[in-house]
Amino acid sequence: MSTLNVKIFVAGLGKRNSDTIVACKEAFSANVDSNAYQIEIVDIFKKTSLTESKKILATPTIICENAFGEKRIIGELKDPEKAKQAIEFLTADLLNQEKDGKNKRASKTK
Amino acid sequence: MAKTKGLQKLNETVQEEFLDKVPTGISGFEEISYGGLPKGRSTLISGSSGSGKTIFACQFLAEGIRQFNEPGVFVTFEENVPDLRKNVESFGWNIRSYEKKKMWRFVDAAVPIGTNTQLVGEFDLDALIVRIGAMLDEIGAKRIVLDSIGSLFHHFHDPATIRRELYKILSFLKNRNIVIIITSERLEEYGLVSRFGVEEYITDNVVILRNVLEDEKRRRTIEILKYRGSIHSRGEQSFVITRPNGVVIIPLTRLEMTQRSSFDRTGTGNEMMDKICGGGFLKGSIVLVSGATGTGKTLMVTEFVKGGFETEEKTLFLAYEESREQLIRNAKGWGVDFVKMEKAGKLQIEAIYPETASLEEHLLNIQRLIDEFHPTRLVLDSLSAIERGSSKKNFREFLITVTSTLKKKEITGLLTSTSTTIVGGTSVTDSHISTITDAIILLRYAEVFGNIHRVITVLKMRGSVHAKEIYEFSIGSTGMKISDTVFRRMSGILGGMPIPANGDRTHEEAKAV
Repeated sequence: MSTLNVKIFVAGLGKRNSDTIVACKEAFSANVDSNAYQIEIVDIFKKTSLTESKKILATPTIICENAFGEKRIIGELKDPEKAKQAIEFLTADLLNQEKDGKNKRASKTK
Repeated sequence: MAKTKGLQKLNETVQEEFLDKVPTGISGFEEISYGGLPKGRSTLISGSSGSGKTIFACQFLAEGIRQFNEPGVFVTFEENVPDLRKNVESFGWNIRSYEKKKMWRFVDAAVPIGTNTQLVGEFDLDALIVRIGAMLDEIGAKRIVLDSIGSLFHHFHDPATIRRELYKILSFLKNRNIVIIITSERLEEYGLVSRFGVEEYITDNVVILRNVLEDEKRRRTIEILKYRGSIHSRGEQSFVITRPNGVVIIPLTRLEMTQRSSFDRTGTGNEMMDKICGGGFLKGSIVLVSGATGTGKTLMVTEFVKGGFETEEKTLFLAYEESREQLIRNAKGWGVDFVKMEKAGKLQIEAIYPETASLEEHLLNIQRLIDEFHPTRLVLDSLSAIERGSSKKNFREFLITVTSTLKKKEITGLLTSTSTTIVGGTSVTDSHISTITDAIILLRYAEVFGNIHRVITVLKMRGSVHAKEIYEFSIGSTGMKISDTVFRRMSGILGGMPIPANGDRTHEEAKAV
């Protein structure tokens, strides 16, 4: 099972940004198996070239990617309910695709 | 800290008093903007879709590189980068080579919101600022384009946030003291300045590009609506988009009447005609020859060319009615060898169908030909052909621009116009042009007891005496033969209602008048 790479792009580590980071982390740990993902915090002021190559426009932006694709959300995550919905949007398709892919591979080996 | 702030403030006031303008390199824009666009200020280019905003913006950067060695950054919110590179290739802007030379950078800011991206809460565009800043630093950019900011409003749904963020981006850019162009879409040609109603308030200057349908023809215009701290031309100016020149503005309202008037004469190519005109046409004057079809306009023109050749003058012949071959054959019939003149480099015939291009394109073509060939005489045959495919206003602008170009370069111009009625009458063209031209020659048919005669008269000639009488002329194998006796058999020819005159009595009357 390939890991979900989660990158949280923030502009500096001010209070509002750390709120979003905390909300995101909590939502992930509550909803996704802890082996299935890893979270990286990216400060756009420090990692300019990554910001450029990922074509980040707005902050905060959360990118969630694995071998099957990429999903993004833009904006602050304030309350836990919103964060949960956001995490569902970020992970649902990617995890499902992975399951599908596994089944396909499984059927091929048969 | 306080010291730097004070210094900054001082800088700002200095900037306001003396606008530091940078030439854009877009042909004609410096004329209408009195020098270009200011450093450290933002200019909104607003226009409907297809009005040429992106081309204008690209050209601003490309000419900055080509003419002034100024690097530029292009921030694209809509079109993707490979498409942009490809679309402007036909204008001769090789963006890839500019990029290699570190003169051009793209910032791909296409708004990603779609099925894989969701907007969930408040945000800012700091990441974009960081990216723009990095590119500006990398190449030391002096110019920047944001094209087009409309899609930010479109995708982010929150105008207040976008407005705040744009303001932030603009103040960031202004602090760098570079020239900023922002494009934005508008929905109607004559309506709100910008689609979202805020773009014009966050920018210092506003330029509007239009692409108006006028009498089934598209006409492009540019208007500087607002230019803080600077004078500028008011109203719409025509422009064209050509390949490979891109946007070329034809600054009509700033044509200056600085040409000096000459009292030197230049031959008409016909001895009798010279006499009637008091010694030939005045050098650098604009002469209109008006007559019905078949009265001998093309012949007069041919003789004018011949006259130029004899005095070693160069003539540019713009033919909008007949083909080259027809013209050469006709001239040969009157004993004038156009081919020989062309070979000698004294004549250039340009036969063009008027319908193949817009008036602005014709105009640019004429100006290009003049710049390349350096004629001292120009023939335009005929104005009526050009007028057929244009609106009244457009045609008048065309005329003014042509005539002022001729005057500036002191080229003697012979323009023909075909009158709509066979006998008498004036054409619509005449009324447009009569105030612009220096001399008017009328060629008319006169019916005398069942026979058609041709007559000629000089209606007006600025700055010169000329014969006021009507002369009869015939057309033969040696050209135009003007009789040296005054035509007195009829009166009322010019009005189109000729009545037979009774010899001497009319003579007396004519003298009395």
